[in-house]
Formats: sequence, C-alpha cells, structure tokens
Amino acid sequence: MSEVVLMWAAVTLYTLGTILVVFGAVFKADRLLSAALWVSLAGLVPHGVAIGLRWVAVHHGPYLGFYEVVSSYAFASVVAFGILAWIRPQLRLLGVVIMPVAVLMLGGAMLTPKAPLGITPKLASYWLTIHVTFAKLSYSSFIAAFALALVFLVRERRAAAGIPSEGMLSRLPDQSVLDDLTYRFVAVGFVFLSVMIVAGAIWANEAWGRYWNWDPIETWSLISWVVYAGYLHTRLTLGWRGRRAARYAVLALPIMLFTLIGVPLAYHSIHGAYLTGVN
Amino acid sequence: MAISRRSVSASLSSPRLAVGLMLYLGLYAFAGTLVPQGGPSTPSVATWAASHRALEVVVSAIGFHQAYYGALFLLPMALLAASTVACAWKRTRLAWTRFGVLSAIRAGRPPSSPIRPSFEIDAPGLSAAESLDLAEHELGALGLRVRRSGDRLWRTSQPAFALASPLFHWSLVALMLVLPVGLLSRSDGLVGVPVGEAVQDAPASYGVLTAGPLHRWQQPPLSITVDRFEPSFVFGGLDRGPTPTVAIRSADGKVLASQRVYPNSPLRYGSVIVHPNDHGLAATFALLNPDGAELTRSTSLVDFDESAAAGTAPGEMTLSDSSGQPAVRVAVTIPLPRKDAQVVRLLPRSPVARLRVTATDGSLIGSETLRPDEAFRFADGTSLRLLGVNYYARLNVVDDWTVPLLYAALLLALGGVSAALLGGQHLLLLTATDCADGTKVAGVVRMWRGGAQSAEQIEAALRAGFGREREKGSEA
Repeated sequence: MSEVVLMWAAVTLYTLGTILVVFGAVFKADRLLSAALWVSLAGLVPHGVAIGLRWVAVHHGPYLGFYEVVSSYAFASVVAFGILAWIRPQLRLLGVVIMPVAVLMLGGAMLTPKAPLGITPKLASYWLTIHVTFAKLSYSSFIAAFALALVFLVRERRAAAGIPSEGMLSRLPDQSVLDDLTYRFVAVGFVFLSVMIVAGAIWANEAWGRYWNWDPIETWSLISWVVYAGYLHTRLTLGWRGRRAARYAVLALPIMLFTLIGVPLAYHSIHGAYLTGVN
Repeated sequence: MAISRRSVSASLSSPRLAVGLMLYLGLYAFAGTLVPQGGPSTPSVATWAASHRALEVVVSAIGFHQAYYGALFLLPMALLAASTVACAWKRTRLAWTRFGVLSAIRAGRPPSSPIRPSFEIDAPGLSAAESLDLAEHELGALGLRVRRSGDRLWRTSQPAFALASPLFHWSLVALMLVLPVGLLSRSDGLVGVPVGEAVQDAPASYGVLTAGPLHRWQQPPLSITVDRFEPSFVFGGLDRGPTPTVAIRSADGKVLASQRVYPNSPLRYGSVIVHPNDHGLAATFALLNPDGAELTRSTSLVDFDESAAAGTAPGEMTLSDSSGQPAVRVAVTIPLPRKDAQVVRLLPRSPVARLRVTATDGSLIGSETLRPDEAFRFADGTSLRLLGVNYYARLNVVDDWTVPLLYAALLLALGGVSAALLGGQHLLLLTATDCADGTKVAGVVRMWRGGAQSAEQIEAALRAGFGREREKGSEA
C-alpha cells in the first residue's frame, strides 16, 4: 500500500514539474524553470523509495512486468533531465520534452496490474541485473539526446522562418553546443546499448546454449544498435551535423522505445515474459 | 576498363556503402520479424502459412521463413564484412600515424613526419617564454590545461585512444569470421538420458540434432550420464525445478565433469555445454529368451502429456528378431494421477507401465499393464520384462569451440568502441621561436575527435590574447 502511495506522490510531483516547466517556458520565467527542476528531482525520492520497497518485497529489481519496467524507464527519464540541467543550467528547458514522457510512462504504469512477477529459474542470474541496468542507462542517454535534438530543430525552424530567437529559446546554448551535446549523449548511449546487447548474448548462451537466435527482441536490439551506429557513422565519416543529425537523433528514439517496451507486447517472444509474464 | 585494387578498396571503404548496408541490415532485420522464422515443421510457421496462404507463396519462394540464413541476407552481410575490413585497414594506417605523433609529442620528441602548423602568431616584444606564458593563460581561460617543456607547450589525448576505432572495427571483422565458423562447426542437439544410464555423445543418440558440416565428433565419443534426478531443488532461496545431476565421462567411464544442471547453471567440459531442457519418465525393459537369459535391454522414454488420458504420451520401442529385423512395436505409457486437472509430473511410488504390442503391420499382438519385474510373454516364449521406471532428463548439448573467441571479440569490440567514442583524439602544440623582432608562435591544433573546444575557438582565443598584448605594447 505504501508503495502505491509513494508512486502516486511521484506522479504528482512529476506532473507538477511538467506544469511548471511548461509555464516557465511559455512565460519566460527562470524561477518557474528552477522550481520545475527541483520539483521533478524531488519526485525521484518517493519514486526511488517505492522502487526500493518493492525490490525488497519481491526480491528482485524493477525488471519484471509492465508496471516495474515502465516505471523504471520513467525514473531514468527524470534522471536524464537532472543530468542535462546539471551539465548546463540553461538546459532546464528540455524538461518540456522529457517530463511529459516521464509522466505518461509512470502514469500509464500505475494503471496496469501491479501483481509482482517472481524471478523464475530462467531469470535467476546476475546477468539479468547487468543487462537491464545498461538498458536503462542507454535509454536515459538516448532520451537526453532526443530532447537536445528536438529543441535544436525547433530553434532551427524558427530561425529559418525568420522568427527571432527570444525568451527561453534564446537562453539555450548555441546550436553548435546543442549539436555537440546530442552527439555526446548518443555516443554514451551507444556504448551502454552495446554493453546491454553483449551482456544479453553472453547470458543467452549461459542460459540456453545459443548466444543469438533472431528472437524478435534480439533482432530489434540489433536494429536499434544499427540505427544509432548509423547516426555515429554519418556524423563521424560523412560529416553530418546540425539539422540532419538532429532529425536522425529524434527519429531514432521511437525505435529504441519500441525495442524496450513495444516488442514484448507486439511479438510472441521468449524474451517477452519479462514484460508480460507470459512465455 | 581495368578495375584497380585501389579503386576496389576505395569503394569498399566508402562510408556511404557502409551506411547503406547498415540501413539494409536494419530494414531486412525488421522485415524478418514480421514473418515467423523456422523450418516448415515449426508450429508457428505452419500456423502462419495456413492462415496466410497467398503471402506464403511469396514468402516460401524467397525463403523468408529462414530470412537470416538466405542469400538476401548473407550476401549483403558478406559485403558489409568486406567493407568493414577495408574500413578497418584504412583506419589502422591513419590511427598508427596519429598514435606515433601523439606519443612523440608526449615524449618530447619531434614526430617522425613534420606536422603542418594550423596557424602562426607574431608576438613582437615578447620572448619565447613570455609568449608561452601568455598562451598558457589564454588556454587556461578556455579550461584547457597544458604541459610545458622548453620552448613548447602541449596538450594531447592518450595516444592509445587513437587505436580504439581500428580495434573496434577489427573486432567486428573477427566477429564476422568467428560467427560463420561457429555456425559451421557447432553441434546443438537434444538427447534424452535416463537416470543411471549412459548415452554417447554421437549423432545416433540425439533425437533433434543440428550439426554443422565442419563439426568433428570426439573419438572415442564422450558419454553423458544422469546420475541422480531431483524433482525439486532449492538453491539460493529459489526452487530451480526438476534438476538432474549430469556427468560427462570419457570413453572408459572416468568422470570428466559433473554437477547439478538447472537454468543458468549449465555443465561445461571443454567446448561442450549441457543445459536442462525438460524431463519425463523412462521405462527400462529386458528382452529374455525362453530360458530366461537376457538378450537385450531397451529403454522407452515417456513424456508428460496433459491431453492424454494416462497423462503421458506413448513412448515407442521397436524390438528386432534374431536377424536384426524389426519384429514388434511396443507403445509404453505410464499412468499418472492428476491434481486439480493437471498431471502430477512425478514418478509414482508404485509405477506401472501399460504396454500395447503390435506387429510391424500394425495388428495388435497384446496389451498388458506391468509392475517392475513382471513380464509380457510372446507366443514364441520370449518375454519382455519391466526392470523399472525412473526419470529421464532431456538435455540440450551444445559443442561450440568458437564461443571463447566470440566472447573475446565482443569484449575487444566493447573496449574499442568505448575508447573510440568516449576518449578524445586531439593534439595541441605551440612552439615559440625567437625572431629578430620578437617571437613567432606556431600552433598545431588537431581536434580529430572530442575536445570541448574547436580548433577555431582555440586559435581565436590565442589570437585575441596576443592581440591584446600587442595593443598594450603599442599603448606603452
């Protein structure tokens, strides 16, 4: 019961954070943006405690079932917001992109069944922790890149339309800085994604004797990896910068999200049990 | 027109080709997920084919149920492999040059080949030392800490990071070699091993087997035994389920490796890895001649079956006559109780085996229910005695010697990509040379990868700093 109360407290704080950041952006109020950041980060406290309470109760981390998995991705989203704001305070504005995603994720998770799924013998391995941790880290990096790229494109579009950059948008770092930060977050996320895939392959071999079986989740992980490898390739070897690179980073995130959350729902897969509980 | 090696290499190492092939890989992989993968007998494939008859004509014509093993996939991937080799080769030469330059500068040596300066700044009125002091101050304002020795001021990334990208690409090449070799040389099969019996690790022992053409079966063959079976095994606070204790033995019976086998705890010996797959029951029989002497033994593996009245599907045995020709077929079921309409998947305390004996033409010879030590008698005086009923473990046995190589390639690739993306590759070198009217500062700035500031920002900051100094000097 207390876990549910804490989760709803987190939803409330994230929602308040979202409202504050939107108002802060629209009314160009720095104080509201600061408040949005602190309220959102404050939401991490009840959220983290709730995850911890459940961890103790079910004897495993937030790995199993739609509720746990999506809740942890919402947590990762808010952490990404915090990191962006820590790197450059002007990036608090990116909460306009990230916080609604976090609210929708956690709110959606709260409406799904919360019955815990037990760790089965097939999942009882330290590789599960490694694999899932890097999945969350990669997602966190990619959503930060997504937010940076989206804001880049909004500013670019306004500039192309002859609308002078003013207010909150003008306080963001230069386009070149946004572009560089987007690349850096994609690079970090790509490393984390690579570790996730390698850990998954090693674990699959330990568990099933096959490190790769073209299972839908495995295939979509590879697709995500290839998509982000393509971003890095086009940037580092073809010199893609600016608008093209930003569009790529924006379009890549939905593919990653589908891999992490959508594939188990859309396909019948041996992996799907971690989300749906059905093998 | 002759195709030169250089033009082939240039085409293969083209970034556009690589990006195009990656795009193809992504789209093709996605398409493959839309259609069930497997052979015609795979249940999901058969179901899909039955419900998508029109599409199935096209899908089966292009072999798309085995999408990742067909030419439409393998040929472009072979081209991607060739492109990766060409890229890796090209990057290695460049990386080695950079490594040499960075190492030389850090060691205070001149690089083996001269580096063209990025800019030159005149510093009239300043000595070499004063010029470098000023430069150090301006760079410090940009957040760049530099090192200084003599008439040089420098900052470089770790030289080893220059080799990270080639390491990553060569690791990918290694993976692309190891994977097909592994596929061609591995064996992967399911074998049923009754408790207390030995089964040879040989093709004839496997019910389901995939073995690559390059796989070499060990001679003399290893044998696999199940020495014990626990219907439930609790370890680490978790019930690991039905758990056999499996041993791998040499031809002379010596135990080479033995342990309980349960999910995430396979048995390993050399390149062989044994996982649990399932379990069932096994009925062991002895065929006796009219004098009661044992002629042969056979074991029938009996699987649980919720839809069968007895709770087990019939295990089939074929008995041969004295000339070795199949003479009779024996279907064996082991009746099991149900609890809450579910078959109780445990060995009964007093197991019985129900036999249905038919001739090779299908005509019924007889049926009987036997307890251990009871026998079914044939008309010719031979008898089939039930020796006992026990568990059997269905094991997944994989023999793949390339797995350690694969792991090594993956770890190297991870290390390479991490260092390549997260480590920088940059060089900043300022040398001050005394001239008749002051000092000339030559700057080499290479921001190959990473670096918080661009080469242009650094040059602009230095020029601004020296410009301010010149103005101060002229005012004075």
